[in-house]
Amino acid sequence: MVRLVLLFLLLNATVFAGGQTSDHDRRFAVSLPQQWQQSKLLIVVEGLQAPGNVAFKLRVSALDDDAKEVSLGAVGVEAIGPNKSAPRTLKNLRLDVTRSLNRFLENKSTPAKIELLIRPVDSRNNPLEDLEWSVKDVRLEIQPKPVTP
Amino acid sequence: MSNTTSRRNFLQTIGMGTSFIGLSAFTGLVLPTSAFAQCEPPPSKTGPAPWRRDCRTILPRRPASTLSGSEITKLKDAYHAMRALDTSDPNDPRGFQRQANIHCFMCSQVSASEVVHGSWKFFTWHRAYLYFHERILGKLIGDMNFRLPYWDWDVASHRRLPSAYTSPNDATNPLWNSTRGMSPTDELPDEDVGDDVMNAALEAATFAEFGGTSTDNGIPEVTPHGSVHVDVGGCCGDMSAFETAGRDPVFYAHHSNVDKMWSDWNKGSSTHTNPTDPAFLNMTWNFYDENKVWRSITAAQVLNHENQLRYIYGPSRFSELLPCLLDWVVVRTDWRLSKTLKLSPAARTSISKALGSRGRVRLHLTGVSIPLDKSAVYRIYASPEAAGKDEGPGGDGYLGTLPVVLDSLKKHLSHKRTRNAVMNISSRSFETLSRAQGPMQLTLVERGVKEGTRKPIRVTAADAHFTVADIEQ
Repeated sequence: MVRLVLLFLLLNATVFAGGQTSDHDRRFAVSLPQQWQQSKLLIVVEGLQAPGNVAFKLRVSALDDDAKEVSLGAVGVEAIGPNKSAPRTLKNLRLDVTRSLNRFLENKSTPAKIELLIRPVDSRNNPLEDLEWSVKDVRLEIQPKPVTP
Repeated sequence: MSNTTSRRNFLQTIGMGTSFIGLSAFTGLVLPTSAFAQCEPPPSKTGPAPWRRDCRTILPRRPASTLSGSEITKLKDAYHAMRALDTSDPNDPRGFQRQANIHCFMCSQVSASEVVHGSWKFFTWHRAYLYFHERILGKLIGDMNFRLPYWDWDVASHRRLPSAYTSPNDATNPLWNSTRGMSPTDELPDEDVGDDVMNAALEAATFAEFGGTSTDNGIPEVTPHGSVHVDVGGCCGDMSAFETAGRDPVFYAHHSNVDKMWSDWNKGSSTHTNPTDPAFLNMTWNFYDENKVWRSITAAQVLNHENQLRYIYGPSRFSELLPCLLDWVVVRTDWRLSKTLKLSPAARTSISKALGSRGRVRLHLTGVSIPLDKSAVYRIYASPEAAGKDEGPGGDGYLGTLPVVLDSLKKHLSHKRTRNAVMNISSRSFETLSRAQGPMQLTLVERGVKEGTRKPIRVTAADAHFTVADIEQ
């Protein structure tokens, strides 16, 4: 059971404003822990706030040296209902990026930090430029990989 | 019923009033006013009747894409009948709109602590919801063997909406929904339902990670579950919002696959266990059943979908049986005195009668002393001779197995030194027991050890008894 206890390593994320992307995108830099290759990697979006009558996906991408976006995955955010326009807050949204981040870092010299781009998109992955949204924090959590019996 | 109606109307009125206020902020993104939510409040003042044990045949839920023509017809007939109730008897709780309103109510009208998303309520409540929905559909077409199909979007070739739900893609199809943002030729993106997503979910080490906690959601609730909702509903479709998602019949096929994920996660590893916290197990919800009876069901009652809810995912060799077992009756032995197993004439009669009528018989060994030097699987035989031969399942004297799994070699001394074992007694193993001339010395032998090096160990246990259940004919 001890093995199953999750030992989260919470890494601080630094928010960068602006950049080459839209004002409605959010950029974060997260540090890579030394043992990242032996771990499960989770992006945790904390305190996402958005209107309750809008359904969207929050797409997470990593930016490579040329500022090219490489998708790491997306989390789906259902609306509550057509008349629920008041902002609602989602405490934690977790996205497992173990494979996608490993692929992103393949054949790269491991950087100290990875720049992440968070962007709300519609069902066809078109950016939702008009959406009023905010997020309290984005961080990278690592967990021990499960041992296959 | 008049009370029910007035409460529903009241909530409908509330919903209508606030929707106009909410229209201004995000034109183009907001859900349409035509998608008014009509959430369903609890229907009556009288308390619900407890859920009854399900006696249906265990049958598989199957991928929607593999249904035969006649099965698709049956599925459409069922939803057609359910939709027809919306107009023929709007107060019938089995009607499609009122079924959809249950989801609406539990997702947006109840208090924050009761909402069935964002916590460990997600998997359990939706399993119960689909279960009663499935039974109602079956009742409406007079076929309680009806099982919901699932949309296996995790299969790369099944990323489009299942054809039954889009063909024809108009109002003549009871599985169609006019508000979908996803067209029949669109495919769910790999990013939302591909191997990365599925592996991540199914490899979750704990239920907290997979299914959430009392206050937090698990990984698959967001992706793939939430992503598929958004992909199908688009910006403004029913599937994109909690209040309206149940109005799209594909919701139930989607959630059946989400339910299958839970089932697959449980099967994936012996460590993939559900919470045992009473706060989890005792969660209780109410639903109308297929006979319009208001029922309560607990989370504990939906954990084993095969035994309790009578459906599986994939084929089952047990599917031809109808094992509606009556109560288990204990048949004692004199083990405590003799430390051997002896069948009295009364026990023989009882066991023989049960097995002869497709009933079930189990042998219970309590407080069995086990070797603690390693993790191993031990076979239990009716005699030292049979253990020495170790012919395995179906062989002479074979009764069952007793696995011993140590947490770690270093910790084995702190292990419990005894185990309880329960073995199903088949007609064949009962023959073995019946043939014994005298008291039987039950014997353990480690599985996989070559003949000549086997070391049979006589079973020492605190007690041995049988339980017998006849089957309802």
